[in-house]
Amino acid sequence: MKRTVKGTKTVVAALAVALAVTGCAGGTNNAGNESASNQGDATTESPVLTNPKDFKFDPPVNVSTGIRWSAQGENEFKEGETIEDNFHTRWMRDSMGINLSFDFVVPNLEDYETKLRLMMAGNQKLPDVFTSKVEMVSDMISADKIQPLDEYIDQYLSDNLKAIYEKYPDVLYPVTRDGKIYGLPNLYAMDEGTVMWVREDWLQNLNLEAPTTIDELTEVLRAFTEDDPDGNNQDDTLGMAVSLKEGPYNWMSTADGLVGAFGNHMPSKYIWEYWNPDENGELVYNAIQPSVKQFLAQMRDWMSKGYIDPEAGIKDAGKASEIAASGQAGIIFGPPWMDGYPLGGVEGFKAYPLPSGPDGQQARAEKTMVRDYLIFNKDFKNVDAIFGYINKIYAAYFGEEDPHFDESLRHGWMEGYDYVTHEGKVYRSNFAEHGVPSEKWPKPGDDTVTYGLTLPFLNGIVPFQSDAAFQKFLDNPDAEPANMAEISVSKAKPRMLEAGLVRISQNENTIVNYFNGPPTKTMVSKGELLIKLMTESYLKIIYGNEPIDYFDTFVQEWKKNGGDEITKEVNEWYKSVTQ
Amino acid sequence: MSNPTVAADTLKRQPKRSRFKSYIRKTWPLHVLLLPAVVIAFIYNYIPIMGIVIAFKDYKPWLGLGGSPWVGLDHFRYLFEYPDGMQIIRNTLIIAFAKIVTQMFIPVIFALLLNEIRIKWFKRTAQTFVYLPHFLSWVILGGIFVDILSIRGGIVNRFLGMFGIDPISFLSNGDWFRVTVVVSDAWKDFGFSAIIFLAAIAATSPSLYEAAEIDGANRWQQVIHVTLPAITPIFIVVATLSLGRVLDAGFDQIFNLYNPLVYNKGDIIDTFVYRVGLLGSQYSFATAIGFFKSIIGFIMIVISYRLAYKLANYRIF
Repeated sequence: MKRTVKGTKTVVAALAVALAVTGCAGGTNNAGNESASNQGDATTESPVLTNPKDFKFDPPVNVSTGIRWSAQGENEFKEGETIEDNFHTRWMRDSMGINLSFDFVVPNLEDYETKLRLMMAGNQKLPDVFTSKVEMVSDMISADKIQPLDEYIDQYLSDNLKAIYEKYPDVLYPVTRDGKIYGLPNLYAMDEGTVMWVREDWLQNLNLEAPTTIDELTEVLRAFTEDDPDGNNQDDTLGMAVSLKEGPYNWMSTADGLVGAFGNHMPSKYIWEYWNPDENGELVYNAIQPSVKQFLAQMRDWMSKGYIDPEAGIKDAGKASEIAASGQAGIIFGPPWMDGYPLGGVEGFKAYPLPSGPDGQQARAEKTMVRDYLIFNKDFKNVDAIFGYINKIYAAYFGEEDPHFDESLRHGWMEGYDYVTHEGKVYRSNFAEHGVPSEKWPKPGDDTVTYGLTLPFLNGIVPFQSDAAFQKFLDNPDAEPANMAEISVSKAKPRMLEAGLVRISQNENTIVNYFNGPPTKTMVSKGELLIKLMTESYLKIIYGNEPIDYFDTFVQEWKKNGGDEITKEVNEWYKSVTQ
Repeated sequence: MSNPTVAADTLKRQPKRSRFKSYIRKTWPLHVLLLPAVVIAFIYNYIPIMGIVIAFKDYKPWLGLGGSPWVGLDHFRYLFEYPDGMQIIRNTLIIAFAKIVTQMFIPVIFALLLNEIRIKWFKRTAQTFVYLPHFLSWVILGGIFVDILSIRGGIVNRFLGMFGIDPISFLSNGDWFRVTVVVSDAWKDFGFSAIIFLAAIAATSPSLYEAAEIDGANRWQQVIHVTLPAITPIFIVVATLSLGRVLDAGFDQIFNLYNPLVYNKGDIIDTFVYRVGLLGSQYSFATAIGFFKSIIGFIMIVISYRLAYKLANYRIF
C-alpha cells in the first residue's frame, strides 16, 4: 500500500525490460497488412467520395484500435453486448463495412498511456487508429509511428468539420509539425463555464439582492456569515465554500470567476496554462500578473473576517463543496452541472452571473478546448473509411443539412437502445408513462434504463453548439430535438438549463489559454518547482502568514527559478505555430 | 591430453564428488519443487534489475533502452540541486524515523497489555477492533481526517474545547501536521503490527512462567524477565527490517493529507517524485529516486543487522 508509486514504477520497468527482450520477435500481430489488401487499387475512387451518406466498403475494411473504458453502472450494455461487440460496432460493420477490433481495453488514462508507451518501447504494432494526449502524439511523431493527414483532410473530411478547424485554428497547433497535421481533435462542448451559485432562500430571509459586484458580494458574504441566514439561531453558516489547495482555478468549488473580476489573468495548477498575449503580443504567464495580487488581497480580507471556509487551503474541490451541499455555506462557484452533483439536495441554490470587479471587469477561465487527438498508424491504409465514419458521427450533430447525414442517426444512436418509437412518436425516457409497451423498452421491465454509447474515435461534439438549445428546452421540455447536440441538452433539468443560460450570457468574457503545445524542456525540469512555489505563496498570502507584498517576492523567485526560461520557450513555440 | 596433475586432482576429489552425487540423489525432488520459485524470482526480481540503467539515461520510449542517451548522474543531481531538495529529504527522514519508532514500541506495549487480559472474548474483540483500520485506504481516511480534525466543529477540536484548548489546525500547521501524520499512522497500523508480537508471546513456553511463579515472581517481574526476553528476537527482526524503510515516509498517507500550507514540513521524496512525474512520463527520474532509496535502505539494513549481532548477539539471516 505504502509503496504504490514505487511499485508501479518497478512493474513498468520490469515490463519494459521484458518487452524489450521479447519485442524483437514481434511482428506476429500483423493485422495491418491484412487491411492493406482491402485497399483496392489506387484508380478506384473511395466509396466515401462517391456516396457520403451510404458508403459501404466491400470487401470490408479491418481497423484495429485501443480504448480506455470502464463500466460506470450495471446497465452499460444490453445482455450479451460488450465494448468490443455492441450495436454500434455492428452498425459500423453492417452499414459501412468497417470491421472494428480492439487491441486492448484498459480502464483509465494512466493504464492507456502505459500500454501505448510499452507498445512503442517494445516495437510492437500499434493499433491502426487511436486517441492520445498531446504529449503522446508529440512522442509518436518523433518516433515516426503515425502519418500526416493533410491529403486526407483535403479530400475526405466534411466541410462542416473543416469549418470548425478554420474557426478554431489553434486546436491543430499541437499536432502540427513541419507544416503537416498529424491528428484530429476530440473537442469539448465548452458548456462548463463557471457561474455563481447563491442560496436564493438565504437572500430572501435576509432581504438581500444577489450580488453583482465584488463589493456587494463582500456584503452578502458578511450577512451569510454573521446574520444567521438559515434562521436557526446558531452561528453555523459562512459565506463561501471554495477550494484553494491547488490554486484558485478548480473543476468546481473554484474561484476563477473571482480572479477574473480583477483582470484577464488566470493562475492554474499546471505550468502550461494560462498563457495569453500582453499588449506586445508576447505570451505571459498569468499566475505572476499584478491583477492576481489584487485577487489574493481580497481573499485574504475575506479569510481574516471568516467569510470563506477557513479550511479552503487544505480541501480539494470535491471536499470543499461539502459544506455547500450540507447547507452551511451560501455561495459556491462552479459549472452549471453542479445542479445535479453536489448541489442536487439543496433546492435553495440558484445560478447567477459572475460579479464584476472594481473597474467593471469580469471574466472566467475557459478550459482547454481539446480533450485528445485521433491519430493514425503509419502503416494504416484505409484512412478514408475512418474519415467517412467520422463525417457521419459529426453530421448527426450538425443535423440533416449536412451532406453526410445518416438517416438512421436522426433520433439517436439506435432504436431500442437510446430511444424508442411508438405510434409514430419518439421517446427517450418515461416509456411507461407514454404508453410504450414493455417489450419495446430498451430494457424490458425497467423503463428507467436507456443505453448510451462510448464512441470509439471522435465524440462528434462541437464547441458551443449546444448553447442554442438551452432556451428551447427551458421553454418547452417536450420540444423535439433537431440533432445530437440538442438531444443531450433535452435531458437536462430546468435549474441546470437556467444555469446554462447564465453561463451563456457571459460567454464573451473568458480567459483562454494560448499555449497548447507539448510541455517545453524547462517546463519538464522546473515546472513542478514553480507550481509548488505558486500554490505555497498564494496560500501564505491568503492565510496572512506573509504580507500581501510577498507576491512581488514570489514573482521574482518565479522568474529566477526557471520562469524566464519557460516564458522564452513558450514564445518561441507560439511564434513557430502562428507564423 | 592426459595430464598427471589433473588426474591426481580428480582422484583426490573423487570422494567429495560422490558425496555430492548421493546428496543430489537423495534430495533432487526438493530441488525440483524449488525450481519454479527460483525461475520466477529470477525472471521477475532479477532480470528487471537491468532496468536500473535508465536511471543513468534520458529514457525515451521510442529510442528504447539501448538507444536513449546516457546522462550520468543528472537525475540524482536534480534531487540534490533542487532548491527544496534538502528540506524534502529532511522531512522524509524525520517523519519516517518517528513512524518507525512509534511503530516499534506501541505494538509491543499493546501486545503486552492485551496478553495480561484474562477475559477471552474481550481480548479477541479488542484485537479485532484495533487491527481493522489497517484495511482502510488512505484515500478514504484522508477525507475522514479532514472532517474529524476540522477547526470548524471537528470532533477532536470539540473535545479539546471542553478543556478550554483553542482549536488546533492539525492539517495546516506544519509542526502539528507531522504529529498528525505520525499519530494517525500509528493508530492505523499498531493493531496489525501487534499480531506478530502476540504470536511470539503465545509461543513462550508456559513452563517458564511456572518456574518464575515458583521462584516468587509477580506479574510485573514475569513480564520483565520472561515475556520480554521471549519476544526480543522478533523485536530485533522487525526493527532491523523496518530500518530499511527509513526513506519511506508513507506516500498514500501524506499525499492524501498534505497541502501547500505544510509543504515546508510535510513534503516527502515520494510526493515530490509524484508531482514531478505529473509533468510527463519521467521514467528515468523516478527510477533514479527509487534506486537511491533502495541503496539507502540496503545500507540501513546492513548496519542494523551488524548492530543486532553485536549488541544482542542475534543473527537474522
